[in-house]
Amino acid sequence: MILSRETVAGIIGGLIAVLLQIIVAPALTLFAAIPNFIVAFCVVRAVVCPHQAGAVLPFVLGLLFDLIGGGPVGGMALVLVLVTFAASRAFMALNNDTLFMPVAIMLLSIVVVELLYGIIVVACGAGVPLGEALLYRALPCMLYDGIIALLLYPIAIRVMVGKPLGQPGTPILR
Amino acid sequence: MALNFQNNAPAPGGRLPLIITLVLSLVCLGIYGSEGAEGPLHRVQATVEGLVAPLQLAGAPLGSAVEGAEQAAEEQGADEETLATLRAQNAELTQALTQAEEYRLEAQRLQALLNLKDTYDIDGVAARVIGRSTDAWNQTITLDMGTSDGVETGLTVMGPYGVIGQVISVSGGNCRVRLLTDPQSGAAALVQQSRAEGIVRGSLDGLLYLENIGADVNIQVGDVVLTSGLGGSYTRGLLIGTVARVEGSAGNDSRRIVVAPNDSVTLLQEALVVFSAASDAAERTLATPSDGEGAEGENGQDDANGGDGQDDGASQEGDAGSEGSQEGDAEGSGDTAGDEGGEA
Repeated sequence: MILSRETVAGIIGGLIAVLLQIIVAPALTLFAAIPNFIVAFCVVRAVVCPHQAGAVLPFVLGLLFDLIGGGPVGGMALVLVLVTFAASRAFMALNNDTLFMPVAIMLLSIVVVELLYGIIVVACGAGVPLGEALLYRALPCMLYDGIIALLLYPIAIRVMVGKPLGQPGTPILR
Repeated sequence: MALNFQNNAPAPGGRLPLIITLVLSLVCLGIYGSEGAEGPLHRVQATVEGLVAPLQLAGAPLGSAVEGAEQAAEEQGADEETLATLRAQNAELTQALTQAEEYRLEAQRLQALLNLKDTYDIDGVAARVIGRSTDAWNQTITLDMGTSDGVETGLTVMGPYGVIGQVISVSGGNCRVRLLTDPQSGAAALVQQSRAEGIVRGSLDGLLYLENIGADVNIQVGDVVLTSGLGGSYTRGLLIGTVARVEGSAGNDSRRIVVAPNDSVTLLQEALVVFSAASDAAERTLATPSDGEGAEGENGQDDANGGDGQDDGASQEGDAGSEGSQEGDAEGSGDTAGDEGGEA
């Protein structure tokens, strides 16, 4: 099995994201919102290297998130697999070599992740109204995750890929 | 806008991994949702959380730094001279007293826990907070005591000044505690003055709400809220907090009662897992943090009532309303209400 740069960077980045989630995230709590490094990493990776994104790494990282946290096991795994797949496919289809498209897809993906996860948590018996859950948890968390994804994106584009995805026949933007 | 539809190659490895991971996720979700708190996935979750909890201690200095930054941001409004003076004083004190202060605070917390044990005749075990929730949807902490120390699921957990939560899962050397402020938590509660019973619930906005109180019960700001022990979920008679705000008035079904918790914990602080407490714990009064250091092991409720404007008439009304609206709890609350009347 040949490990490409993208795969190795994905595994190492995933490990770092998990460690950050365990050690750093609880200390960065702002108004009950805890940053989710795992979501940010998976979404950024789906956009930065959509051909190598796959479903296994988001599943494993999502499952780890569920296990180290107190949420329904499988919930984040399901959401991350679905959304990262959709994000990578959307980026491959819509990429036009501008910064707008990856940023828009990342932010939209994070919004969808937090919304879907919030719905799953509520459906699994959180005992709170869906509207409150989205207002008090999903919304601040998606803002937090969005900022982290925006900070992570330029690093990921440098570290995780040999050359960025571009349209055939267009100059490479770095 | 040029699109790149020619670039949509199939996902690596085909769609099989996607389908497998989706099915696995759904299976996990289904099992987790249908199994009980002692189910295999819950146990794995508790074990993993226990394993990673020590890692969180590495983030404790960062947490302190963040808190310091927040405080610094709050102090932006102060003038420069004041800030310079405070900084100088702070540096001086820090150099001289950091270590001693740490020990003193720890001794103080432990003393408060001991006072708490004495006040309520608590049989329990002290534990240290070694982890916090890593996601925003659960307000839990991890303690460094587990089944090997006698900790079981469902036990009440107290900080130095009051109830903070309940054990929801246990593994060999640690346990997970759902905090009272978590929206999924609910503690059967008793208002000490009126003897009205209800349920204290956490919420997503971080406040505690006292619910299911009879509409005709008169609740005043400052009323002390205790665990009632109904349903056996929490040990009876332990201090939860005080009523901080009453939105609406008696007789109004939509009345909302906000309770200020008496205690909270942070990483590396100590907590007490309660195995049992005195049967008359509800009649004993615990000092609030603002009352001074430690707790006073006094019987009676004069302290709790002092100066809050609660009158006997209101209490009598409350009793009647409570007994009328809360069926099935007459034996405990009725007796104690009578005792209180005698004391008053």
